[in-house]
Amino acid sequence: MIIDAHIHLQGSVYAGDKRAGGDDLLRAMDEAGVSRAVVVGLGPEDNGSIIEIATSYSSRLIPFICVDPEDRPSLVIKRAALERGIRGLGEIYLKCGPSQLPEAHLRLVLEAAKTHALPVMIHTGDFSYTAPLLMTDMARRFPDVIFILAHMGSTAFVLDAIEIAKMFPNIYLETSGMTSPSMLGRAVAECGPGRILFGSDYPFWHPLVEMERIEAADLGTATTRMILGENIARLLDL
Amino acid sequence: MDACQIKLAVVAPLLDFPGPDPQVHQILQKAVRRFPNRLIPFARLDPRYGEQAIRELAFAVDTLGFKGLLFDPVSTRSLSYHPQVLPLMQAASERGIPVLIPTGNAYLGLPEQVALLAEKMPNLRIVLGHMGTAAHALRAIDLASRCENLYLETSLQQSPFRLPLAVREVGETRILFGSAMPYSHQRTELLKVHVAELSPQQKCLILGENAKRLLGLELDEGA
Repeated sequence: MIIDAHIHLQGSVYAGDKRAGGDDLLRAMDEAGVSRAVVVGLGPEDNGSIIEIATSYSSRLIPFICVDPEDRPSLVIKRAALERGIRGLGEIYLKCGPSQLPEAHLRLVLEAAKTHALPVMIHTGDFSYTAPLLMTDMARRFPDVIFILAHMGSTAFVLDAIEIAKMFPNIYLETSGMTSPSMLGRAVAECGPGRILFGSDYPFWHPLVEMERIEAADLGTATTRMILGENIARLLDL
Repeated sequence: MDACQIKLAVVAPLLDFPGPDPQVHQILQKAVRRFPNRLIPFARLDPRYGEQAIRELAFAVDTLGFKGLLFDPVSTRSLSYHPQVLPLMQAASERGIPVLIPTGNAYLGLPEQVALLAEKMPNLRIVLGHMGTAAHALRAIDLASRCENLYLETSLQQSPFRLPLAVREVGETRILFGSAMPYSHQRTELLKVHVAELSPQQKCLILGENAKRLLGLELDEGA
């Protein structure tokens, strides 16, 4: 079973883009042979729609939510996890500058994640302010929290992502947007095959293309199956 | 290339000239000569070396038969629009060869910086390598839409959904398929173009015809 560990609900994300979300999302999954997908938010404003669609398609969509810094994370997360079947948190964007997620807030989120055993997806890559190594301290302080590094640092920071995953067993790497199949091979060789998760970051990228990269890495049937679904199934107890 | 039915590819050294290996272009030419109808060599030069780089460009193009120039702002620590860069770009422009400039999120490879070079040199055809990558692709599309000597090369920008936008904004004739092998894979880069919502004619242009026209190659059938 192929499980996509990283999709968003949004339809239109580029000018002239006619995709509308829900149905188009499921169509894209069907086209790519993806049975189930983790749907994550771009921000707290997505939470309502995510819960709604994940409830409607509970056999296919697995909801993660974002937490508003103004809310009390422990209460929001408790309610979401217990009442609404939320399975994880994210996608969280670490940013320097005026929109920086305050460390104190992140700590509260991680405390709640620990209490409710929810994995946390962190956006990584492209920019130095989203570098994977920024998670070093949090990964050390919260050894019981599973961190999914979305994009595994993307192509620019993939070596850092592999390095931090080697350092901490609670770091998982999600593959979307990291363009190099040979770096996937390196991640498997250095971190083992059990913590690498296929993701597409639909609607930004395409599940077929992202999946093709896993195949092109030529990792062998067993490892490929783990990355394409078994690892996330084990992590989320699906 | 064979596995992906790719007939021709532009290839450039991984090292700049001048650099650790002064024979870098001769080595590339020797490799290319083994596959004369498959590989199209580009020189890779560091513009900070002024006349020395220009002489090597003349040698690579006139003697070795190279078809273009790769200038990497990151490895050469150069701002694309800096006066130090312009003489080499002028030399490329005078020879009528295109310049491939990798772009992305590095502080010396922003599409905006390259666009300033394009404005200074309207006769120089400049390919924005990686079309800014995912981080700056929309900026690259916008810049190329306003600057007719800018071309977009598709590698490392992972989204097939951005390609129709690029075609609409920039036009179908200034977008070039690339793989950036070994930083990406030809299989995934090709699939990205194939799944994009583009007409067969547009895909044909992107997958080869545009590059052949840019490089002045014979438009032989099917390549």
